[in-house]
Amino acid sequence: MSRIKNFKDFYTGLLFLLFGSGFAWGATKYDMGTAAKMGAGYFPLILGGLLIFLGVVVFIRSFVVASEDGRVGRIAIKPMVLMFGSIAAFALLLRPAGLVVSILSIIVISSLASSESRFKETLISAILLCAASLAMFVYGLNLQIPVWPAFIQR
Amino acid sequence: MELLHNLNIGFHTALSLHNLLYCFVGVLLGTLIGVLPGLGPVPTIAMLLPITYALTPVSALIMLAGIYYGAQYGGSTTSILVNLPGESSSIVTCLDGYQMARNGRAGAALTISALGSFFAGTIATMVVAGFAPPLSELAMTFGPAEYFSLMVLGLIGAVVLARGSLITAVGMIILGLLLGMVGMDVNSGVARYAFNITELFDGINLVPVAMGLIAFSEILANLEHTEKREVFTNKVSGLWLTRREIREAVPAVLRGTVLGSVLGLLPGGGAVLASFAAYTVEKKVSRTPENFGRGAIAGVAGPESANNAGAMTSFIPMLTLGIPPNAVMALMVGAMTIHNIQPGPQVMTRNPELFWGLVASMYIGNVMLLVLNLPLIRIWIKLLLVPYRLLYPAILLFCAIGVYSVQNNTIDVLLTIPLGILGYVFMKLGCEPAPLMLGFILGPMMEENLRRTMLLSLGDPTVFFTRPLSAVLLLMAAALVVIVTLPAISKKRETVFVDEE
Repeated sequence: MSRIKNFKDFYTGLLFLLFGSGFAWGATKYDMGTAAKMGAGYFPLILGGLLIFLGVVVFIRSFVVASEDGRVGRIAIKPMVLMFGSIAAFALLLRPAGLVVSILSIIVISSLASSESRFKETLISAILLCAASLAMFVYGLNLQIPVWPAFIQR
Repeated sequence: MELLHNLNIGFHTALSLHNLLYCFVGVLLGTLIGVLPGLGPVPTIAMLLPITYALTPVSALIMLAGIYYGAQYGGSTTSILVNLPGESSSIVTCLDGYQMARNGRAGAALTISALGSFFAGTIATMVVAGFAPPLSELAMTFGPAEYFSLMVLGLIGAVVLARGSLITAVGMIILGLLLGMVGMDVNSGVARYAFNITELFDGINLVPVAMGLIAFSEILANLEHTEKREVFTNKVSGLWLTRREIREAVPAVLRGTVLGSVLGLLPGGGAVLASFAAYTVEKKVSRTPENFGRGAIAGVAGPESANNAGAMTSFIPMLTLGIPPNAVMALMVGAMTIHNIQPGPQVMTRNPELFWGLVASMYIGNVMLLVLNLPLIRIWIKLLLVPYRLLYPAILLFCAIGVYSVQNNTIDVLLTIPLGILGYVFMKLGCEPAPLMLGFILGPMMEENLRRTMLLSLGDPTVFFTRPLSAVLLLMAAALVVIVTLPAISKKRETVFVDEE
């Protein structure tokens, strides 16, 4: 097996292949129709095929053409997990527990993603943001968001 | 003079107390989010979309437009003083703006970006007023074939101007088009790629895509660069320019304005593209290119003028053709459809006060911004003293509330997670997200127009070449591809973009 010369291309090619074949495979399950009367699967199948082709090209290129910055670099796993975890917490808590609990959780969890944050400071900013969000979104803009946990609100 | 008559209608609309107020709110918010790194016009406009229900369509568009071009003014402040782009269209301003600040010329850099933006905004407003009417008349003659070819041209344009590998950029566009396919197929009623999730039957909303792919991956990137930044907030003294600086900046502003106005017109264009292109041009034409990256004022003046010009002229394709050239314009389309106004060539004749009111408000908004950004600059600088560790959780929160409020559902918020991870992976792989966004926006429209064309031609694809206008558009697209694949140019293109890294 020859050596990979450009890791960015290598993974990009794989990603394109993956998405292309996924969408193309999905398209085969829909009605194709004809060129004059295109069905639901016609356009996605063409696009999926094109993406597979491009994926192959980029994949092959990764073994042939070298690039100076072909390295992918470090993936910041911890900040990523914490950041997206905080968004998940916000989304999952919003309906059952209301805005206040959701805000506290998104701010506290996402703050952990930075090595510079201090807990006390985070807590104060979370409380301030709670007040600001309530004033702005709930009372100001009248957005339909549950504020308190479901068991408190009637 | 019809133009004068129309402008009269426009200023009459824009100068009403009500609309002046919304214009001011828009540009004020725009400056604010421009100054704050990581919070761009897309999440802000998305957040405010629900409240535009209560406004008249003119006031809504005036305010939302103000946010977009206001952000172009504010973005430079952060780039210059903190070396962190306040806005993605101010990334290149960091290169020389921050160096100017280190050389003690922060005041001059701030002044030239505000004045340059103002000049560019004034000219671009005239371009919109002058170009939009004839273009919308031309657009009246467009059939589905022409629309399809125009979108092909736009997508090719986005590829050519994207950074990095061409093939990768094409792949990103196609992936975007495919993501646009998710949801109910209008012709057959089949829910495509929806995995039986009811919320996906209407398709993936633009807002979670934009937040996940762009905003969230940007926050992660900022978190990675934790090296100490020198913030020049106390050293802003002397906003005046020296005579030599004026001599260097004026031609750069002129070039940036022209370039930005032209690039804004392209589908796929807008502020970000304009600023990158302007920096490249300035470096090319400069007699002292070695000064770039060390505080060359032309490297601030050019891109900062271009991004404002591009932001404003990018309204033209949206207003005249109904084709949104970027994510901000796609949201504007959303704001217009809320009020049952279908964007397209008929807007100007059916809603003249909307179109001309918006144009007039752009001019007024630019005047307001000049005042907000020069005499009041010190207030904005205070904002930069808030450390990033406190800022990003707040930005995250506002984005999450914004995503939720668009359709009042939490599925959209959860959707930003896989999209955000995808955006981060793409960033690591050096794939630009902008072509993907454009593909995503244009996907459903392209399919619809392709289907209609083929239905009318009874399945004969040659129709794209036998209709003259469509053929011209496709030829232009082909010419673009040929030009960039010519070995000499593709080499130059590589070096240009490598220089910018």
